Amino acid sequence: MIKFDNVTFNYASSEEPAIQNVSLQIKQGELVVFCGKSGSGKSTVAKLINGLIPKVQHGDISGHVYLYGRNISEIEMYQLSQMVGSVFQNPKTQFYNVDTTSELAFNLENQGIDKTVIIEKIKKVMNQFKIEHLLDRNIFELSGGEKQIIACATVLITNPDVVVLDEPSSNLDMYSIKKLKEMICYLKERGKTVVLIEHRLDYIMDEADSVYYMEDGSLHAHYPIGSFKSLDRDELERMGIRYGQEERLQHEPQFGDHVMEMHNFTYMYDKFNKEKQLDVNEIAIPKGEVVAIIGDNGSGKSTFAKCLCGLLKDFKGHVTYDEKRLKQKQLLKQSYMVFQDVNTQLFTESLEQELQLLNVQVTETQVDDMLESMNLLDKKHEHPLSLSGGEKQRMAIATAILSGKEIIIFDEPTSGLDLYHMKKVAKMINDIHDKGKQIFIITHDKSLILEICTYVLHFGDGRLINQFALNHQGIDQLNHYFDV
Amino acid sequence: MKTVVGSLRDHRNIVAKLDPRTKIALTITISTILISSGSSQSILRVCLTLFSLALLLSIHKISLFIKCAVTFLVLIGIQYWVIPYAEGMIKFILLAFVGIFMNMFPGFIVGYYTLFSTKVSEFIAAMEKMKLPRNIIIPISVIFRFFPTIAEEYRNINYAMKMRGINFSNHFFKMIEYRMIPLIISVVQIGNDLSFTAMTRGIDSPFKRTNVCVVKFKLLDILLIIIMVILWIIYFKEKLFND
Repeated sequence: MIKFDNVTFNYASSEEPAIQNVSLQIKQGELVVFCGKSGSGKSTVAKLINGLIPKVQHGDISGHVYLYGRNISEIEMYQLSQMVGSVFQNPKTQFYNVDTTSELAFNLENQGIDKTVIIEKIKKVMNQFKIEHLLDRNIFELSGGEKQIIACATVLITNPDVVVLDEPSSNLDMYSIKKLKEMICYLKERGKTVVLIEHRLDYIMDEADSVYYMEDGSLHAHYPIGSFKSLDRDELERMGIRYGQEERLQHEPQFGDHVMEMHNFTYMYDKFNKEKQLDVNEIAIPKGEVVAIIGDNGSGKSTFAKCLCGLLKDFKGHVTYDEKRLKQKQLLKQSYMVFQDVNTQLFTESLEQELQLLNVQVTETQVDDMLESMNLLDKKHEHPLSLSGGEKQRMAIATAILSGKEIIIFDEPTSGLDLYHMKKVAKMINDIHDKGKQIFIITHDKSLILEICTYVLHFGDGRLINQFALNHQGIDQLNHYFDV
Repeated sequence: MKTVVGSLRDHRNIVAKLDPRTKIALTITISTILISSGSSQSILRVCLTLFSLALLLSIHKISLFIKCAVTFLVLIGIQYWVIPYAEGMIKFILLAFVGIFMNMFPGFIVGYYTLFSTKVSEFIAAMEKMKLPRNIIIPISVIFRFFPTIAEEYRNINYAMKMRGINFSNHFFKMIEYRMIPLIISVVQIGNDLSFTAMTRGIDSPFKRTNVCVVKFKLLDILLIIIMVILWIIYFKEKLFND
């Protein structure tokens, strides 16, 4: 079915090969999972299967990739697109159209299939997974999870024999993860070959047939599912795989008497539309904790966070913090949000300048100390945008710390990270918390919550539906939400 | 056939569902006539401006409609009550400002309406009906995809700058650089990823494409086209014979 014969690939832009001497064979109808730390060459394997390498992305390649016994490099891209369906990690860049219906039809339209047939197929798939509400919507109004569901539905409608999913779950809420799982199971039942690249294995483990573990560009191990499940915890942890971790609270929270109160947190983006995106009258939480904000996509989490850091101009509510009453303008001065997209928050020409571009005075030694603690001192004079994704994120966190603000909000800081990097980010956030800051984390990552959070706010439909301290009762409520 | 297509819902109202060709013709007609004709036909001018504002209502941009309407009222106010009393340089600047704005703005509004109300694949279908070659259609259709992308990225950058406390008062000259560099880099990256996506979906297929969107002239299209033809006739008559 899919066969790699001693494949080595080196991207044109890099010196080290991305993968080396990879040989493997995947049978028809198998669900195969590839895991490994970031940069271990997993995505390169995906791109070799769907033909993006070497047809679109160039570099030095040796060895061959076969699909149904045919060498992939001899198949035209448009033919390959009918045989292999792809879902990528970043939901933002998967759509050629602006509305969902045309996007769903796009593949089949390109194949020149009659439009009545296309419409029938779209209706069938949307019906089957009960996602008709996603038809005829503007892509820019969908949440990351909904976009990812559409991307999977597009593949189902095209009905290829092989499906490659490159970290599809990294931005997903629980609702979308359930849908994603349904779709993968459906593909498997229909005898399709599924190649899944993933850090997070809990939701799909019962369906998988085998697991490949990659390290530094080479295929390190291949486990049939049975022996993978029997690996012990330390081994999995060393491999950076998010599966079978102990679900235990790191510490029983102890709250002081101080509270932080939020009043009148209501907001609507369109004044002429009655619907409120956020509608919470009052929230009181213990002060100085690490607060997790959970909830499905579109539940008002991000709007809440934007209100909390004063980004939305006509927001009328206020926060009582340290016996001070903070309104929108003061909130903007007192809080800092680290966004998920790292590319849009670094502006200057060097890391040094980046840290000095703040409203407060930052000394040379402070800059050096901060870069030192972030492991970035040797790159002090480099351009921020030349850093890797993880390094950019550390820079964004560094600016948050140096800003000297009291309330720091993280938007999905660990999405798409392997266990090792997730723990690193968790430790960084914990260090900030130890400096006495109030932390909020918007997240879908249960391991992160268990690792550092002490309090949980659960949003749904723009309202606060639950709030609890993360103690022994709290953990049950958390598990209830995160149950696949 | 029509019922099948109707059952894949389309929430837009009748004005937003105009044929893309009509929309493009509207954009060209309104901007050309307003920019290049003198201020003589003031009734026509008011009508076209009102019409372009009404288009905003059809795509449910009510707050934008109110903002634009207020802007026009303020400009008219300036024209009638301020300019006659102003003198010298100030008068000249005000006149130029009001004139340019009143002439250009309706065209922008119609362009905005066209971009917002047209689906990419509808647009492709219309261009195919006009028998344009595919190497022209695909780049133009990407533009439709890109305007909202740039807007989204720009908004995110703005938020991040606000967090840092960067604004015009403390970084006046650097402001544009800080904004443009991340914007360009992330837009280039998105463009790159998008082209990968398009390739894995068979955009390079040599077969004739089909399209689920129905693009054809309806009654309202025909009506508007007739009105546009009349406008062009009046326009050329004035240009050619009145000099």
